[in-house]
Amino acid sequence: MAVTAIRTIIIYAVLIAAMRIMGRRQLGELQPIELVVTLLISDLASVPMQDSAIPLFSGLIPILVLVAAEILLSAWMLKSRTFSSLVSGTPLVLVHEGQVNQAVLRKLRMSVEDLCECLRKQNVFDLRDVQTAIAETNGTVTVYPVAAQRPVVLQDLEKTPPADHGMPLVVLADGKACDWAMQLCGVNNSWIEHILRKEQCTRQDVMILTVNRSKDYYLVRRERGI
Amino acid sequence: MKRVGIALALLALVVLLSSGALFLQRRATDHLIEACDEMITIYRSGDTERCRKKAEEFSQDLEQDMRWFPFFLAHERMESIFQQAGALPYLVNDDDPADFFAALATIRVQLGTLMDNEWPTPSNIL
Repeated sequence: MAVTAIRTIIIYAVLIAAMRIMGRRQLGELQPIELVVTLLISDLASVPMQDSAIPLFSGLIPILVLVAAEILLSAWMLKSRTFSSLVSGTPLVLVHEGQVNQAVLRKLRMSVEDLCECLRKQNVFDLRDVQTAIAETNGTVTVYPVAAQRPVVLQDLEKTPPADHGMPLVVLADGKACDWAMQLCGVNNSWIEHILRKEQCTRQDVMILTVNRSKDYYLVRRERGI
Repeated sequence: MKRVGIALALLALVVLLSSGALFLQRRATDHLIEACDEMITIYRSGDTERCRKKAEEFSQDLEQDMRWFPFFLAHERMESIFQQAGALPYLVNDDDPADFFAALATIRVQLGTLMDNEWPTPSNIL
């Protein structure tokens, strides 16, 4: 039992490291190659976890090889468009200028009902509202609506946009500063200390402090006892 | 590029571990098979007492030489060899060597198979 428990912790740590090494693409929408690696790794990891008669390396070595292969393949795909399209495929146009491309639907083994379902997920309920629809390599469908159905933007109204204050970012969370956010917003620790003095609190009293480029800040204090 | 470097380092580590495992295994199985042949020679020379002592030492040699094997081989593949080796001293018999030779032959074959199955040959891979 103790052996199984220790192996589980080791394999868990190795899997986290493997996911970190492979990068954020694994955690978002998966390409076919990434889905394969993720499925294989989870299966390989469970074998030595359950059977202590199997050496730990029997699970770890294949995982290391898969991680290395995935990274090298991704790097090669960056360099070679041909290889990238061979492994991941290319985006396919399902609807163009309002016309459904039936040959592409057949190629993707996608029925019209499937297409309509994908459109509904994008809040499009009428095929006539679709200017272009593209089936991406990760299986999702992106939709570009016709002009009459697109959300209105200020440019359409020929209005001058208001001054851009930048995105509010969290610079202090649970008392700990976030350096990259501070850099983006153009603030530093002195400015944070100044705000804390103004609000008469310490870092430990702060649950969250957000600020934008215009130094417009929002502070939430931590509740007592939490 | 950093990740590519890490990937290459991981592959190099895997190659190193695999080669190391093969080397250790080859060395151990060659030594143990030699010990088996030596026991047969000693027995045939008529010195059963010395042969019995050698058989007793063989179990210790087995444990010593195969101490790294559990890191890369399933335990059940080695259990049979250890069981056979444990019985060897009791099979050394002045009258009938058949059981003793049979056990030695089994151990030799199992050691050989253990080694052969680990080589990266097409038949093993497929």
